[in-house]
Amino acid sequence: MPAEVHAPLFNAPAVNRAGQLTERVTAGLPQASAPQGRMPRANFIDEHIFSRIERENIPHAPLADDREFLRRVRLDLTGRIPSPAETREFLADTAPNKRAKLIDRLLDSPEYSDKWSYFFLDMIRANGKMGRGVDLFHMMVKDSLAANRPYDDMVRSIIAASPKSSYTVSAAGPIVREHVEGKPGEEIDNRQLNKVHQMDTHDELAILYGKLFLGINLACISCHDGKRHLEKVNVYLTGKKRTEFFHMAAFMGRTRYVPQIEKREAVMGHFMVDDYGPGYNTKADSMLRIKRFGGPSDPAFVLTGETPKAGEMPRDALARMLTSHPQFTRATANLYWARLMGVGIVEPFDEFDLARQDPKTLPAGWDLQPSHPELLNALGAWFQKNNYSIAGLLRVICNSNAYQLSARFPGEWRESYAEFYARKFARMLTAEDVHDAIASATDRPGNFKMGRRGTGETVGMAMQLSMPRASGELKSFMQAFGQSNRGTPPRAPSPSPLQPIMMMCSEVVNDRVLAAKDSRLERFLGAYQDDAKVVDELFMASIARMPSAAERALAMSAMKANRVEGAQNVQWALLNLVEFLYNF
Amino acid sequence: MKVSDLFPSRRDLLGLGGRGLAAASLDHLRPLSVYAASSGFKARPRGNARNVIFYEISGAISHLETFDFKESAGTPKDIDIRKLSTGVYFPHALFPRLEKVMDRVAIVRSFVSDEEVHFRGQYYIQTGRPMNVAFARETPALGWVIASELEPRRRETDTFPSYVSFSLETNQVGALATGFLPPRYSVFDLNPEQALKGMALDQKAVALLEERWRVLAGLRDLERERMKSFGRDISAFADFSTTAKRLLTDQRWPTAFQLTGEDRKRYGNSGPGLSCALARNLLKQDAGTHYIHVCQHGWDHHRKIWDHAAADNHYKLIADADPALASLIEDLAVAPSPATPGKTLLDETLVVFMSEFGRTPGPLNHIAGRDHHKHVFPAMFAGAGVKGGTVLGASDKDGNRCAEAGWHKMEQPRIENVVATIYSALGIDWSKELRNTPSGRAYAYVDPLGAGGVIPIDDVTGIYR
Repeated sequence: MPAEVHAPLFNAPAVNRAGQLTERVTAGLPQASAPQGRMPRANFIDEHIFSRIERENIPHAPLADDREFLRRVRLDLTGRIPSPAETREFLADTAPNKRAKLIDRLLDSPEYSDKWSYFFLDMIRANGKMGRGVDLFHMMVKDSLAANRPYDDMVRSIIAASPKSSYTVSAAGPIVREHVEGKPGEEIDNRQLNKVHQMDTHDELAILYGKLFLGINLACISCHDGKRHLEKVNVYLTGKKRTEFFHMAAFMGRTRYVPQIEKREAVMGHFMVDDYGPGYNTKADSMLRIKRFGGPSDPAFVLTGETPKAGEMPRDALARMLTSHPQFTRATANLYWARLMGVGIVEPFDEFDLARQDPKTLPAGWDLQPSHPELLNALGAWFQKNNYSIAGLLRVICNSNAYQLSARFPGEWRESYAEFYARKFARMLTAEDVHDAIASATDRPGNFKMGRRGTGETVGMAMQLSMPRASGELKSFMQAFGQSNRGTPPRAPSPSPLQPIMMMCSEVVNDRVLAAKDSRLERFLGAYQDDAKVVDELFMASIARMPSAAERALAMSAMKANRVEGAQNVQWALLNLVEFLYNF
Repeated sequence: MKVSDLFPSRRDLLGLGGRGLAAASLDHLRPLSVYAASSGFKARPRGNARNVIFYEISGAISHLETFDFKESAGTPKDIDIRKLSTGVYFPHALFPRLEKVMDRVAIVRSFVSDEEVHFRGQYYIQTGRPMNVAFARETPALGWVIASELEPRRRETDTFPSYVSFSLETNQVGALATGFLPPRYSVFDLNPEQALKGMALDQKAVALLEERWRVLAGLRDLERERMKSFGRDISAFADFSTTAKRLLTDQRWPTAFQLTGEDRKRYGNSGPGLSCALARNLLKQDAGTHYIHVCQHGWDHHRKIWDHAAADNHYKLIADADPALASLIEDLAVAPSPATPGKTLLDETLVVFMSEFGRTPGPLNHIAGRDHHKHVFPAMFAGAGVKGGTVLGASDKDGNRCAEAGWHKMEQPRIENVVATIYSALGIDWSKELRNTPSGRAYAYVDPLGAGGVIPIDDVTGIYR
């Protein structure tokens, strides 16, 4: 096939799109004033970001004020908006290191592990395919985050998981999730092993580990050599062959995914995973890919060619090699950086081109892939030195002034400024963010049942769940805001006409803005006779700021004819503002 | 020598260069460049339909007991196969209502697919091309391409979205997005039960919405006031709120989401029933919706397909589909066309119903079900001048492989040809390519390079003769 068939997927860099979106979102906000003097360096991240900005004379945003910072970091670290009390307390605090203390507090909260375990389960695409073990896996990830477990340790346990039942060993969840069903209708033996396509499952796991833990998309070479396909896409992968993919998948070659059998039928979603299999078969047919064509089938790590040590179990070997390779720390740091900063140093997070990371060895005619190659290396090295702590990584990023810049830009924005991180990028709230923000703003939590058959405890926030569990009206609402069934990789939320329709007529919103069922609004109306005070509190609860005089007057006039209805309308209007629906 | 050696390679097809047509600028930020395909294939759009309804029988219905009856050891005893006046053998007991309108339906029995897994098959149906993981990010669903093509035809008074889907999120691929097309064509996938509850705003609800909108508009105006002194352009933000409000307060939209008790009885109170009734309503309002995709999922009966006692079986799904499809066709046939006096809505609406593949013929499998079968399966067409009772193509005596392709080509038609037929009916030149996609790779409306090599991209005109 001619080379142009696989041209680079996106010519318009993600960072430019982020810049454009931020421009539009902040258009309705007061403009920022230009920063005075040289930006102080809070940590090594600032050194990299601002040296480059200063060297190239790029204008940048000032630091965000406390209010902007509070809402942003609260959403980023814990997936919640601040309550009025939190906002007041933070604004009134005069301690010089109050932002750092806030970050520490947020990272110590249960909401932190809720949100970031939900994120990890999004990345693993944990859905019904993970079967009975999904809540167990969720608990494990949550506990690991809360206990500050080293990330490499958790990743190794996932790659090498070997349970007698995936229902009882949490780390086996992703293995179960990736299983490929065998050809329907084939004759089965009494183990029903071919209900699962063993070879294809090895392939899927190799691809998952490559993308999520190494940031490298092995899917291309799982079907064909890089040569004559990827010349315009990925220099490094152009030189890779399908046989090298076989070698990588071969680490799982001896693994067997043995379905649990109940009432003589295989339960898909409940497996025993052991390593008594016959090895990777490079001649096996495939349900999903071009036929395998034979060749060597011994395990070799795709990045280094390293093979397992004598006597080492292959999956243990892969776990060891993968987590000790520098690309592991760089890819992980990049992934979490992208979540906090809006755009990764390498975008997309799973399309690293390892031949384009170093300016000194850049192939002719190609751009450097990372926007800040030294920073990426430094972040990776920092992550490793700090015992692979996710909380630590988030902490050091949030404490940087680069993270704390305002989303508002003084003067005219140019697309060329975007790659310098010259302002904080705005992002639309995810479906879970939106639900939880509405629930917080109105203090009317949701009603989600944990557990597979909804027999577990009830929680109020969407992000406390292991996977999307909305039904009925709420499900329509969440889906309009981009909630997926985790069948496909996660997508950034994007605007659609259905969203404002949902905001306007869905019970999810309309019921909650009522002065009823002990909502915030009901309490405000009861506690304060002064309409001005009610308006102030509604603004604080919804968009974490006080109204301007004109806004207050407008809102109060809406309450003149009918106090209760007017106040409900004001809260409804606040929830429909860009200021509410975006994180910036 | 293979047959495919006779046809030009893709390199040849692309190498000839395009004859540039006028660039269709649909978004002032990124105009789409439209070119004629260079293969020399001349598409002749028929333009015989204003609307298309695509009913996806998702999960794959067994053709052997339904639209391509073949008796076998696996045939259930209670489906009461009768010979219709059109000569077609049809299960009276399964489809008592649809049977009555089968004289309006053309069946093409010779379709083939390369896909055998649902995810890929359902992707194929929604986008009109096999899934290529490398391009999935930028590939739009068929409805979005149609919406962008119909954009110039939208009138001032059109407020409804051009493309509406029902229950696509129950599909394995979900409701696919716009790909490289501008987001104003964004996903409008409705759950029918929820939509009936939420969209049918009564007087009081509309008045409340108007009051709330006043407050919201006031707050936004204040923002704009603040910004005036800085001279910033804040109208650039693609705010869908205004579109949404126009839609919700347009009397026709809440009206479309009202069903009578009679409707619910005739169409059935099921997901597909309500979706079909709403589809009829949307088209009757003639307010801008022209392409509707209804998804009825759940047909994947590998086990106990014809077992009444099973919690989930074909009988149950057919019981929902039968009244839904039949009522839809009946109602469209009597509703007057809003555009052409003397014609009916059915005269100008092409209705297509099909699955992503068929099911395995012969005896049932070891768990009393049927499995996936890509080699031959049918698609059904009605409306827009389709000659009812037509049967094109044939499978062999078991319903296993194709015996007759049923059209002017040697090879079996594919989903691409259904898509070509849909484009043709709407008057869209499907031989077009869009060149300035994010990847730089040309997006062909119907790609002559199929899964296994070059394929014909003709529309299936035999359904009309």
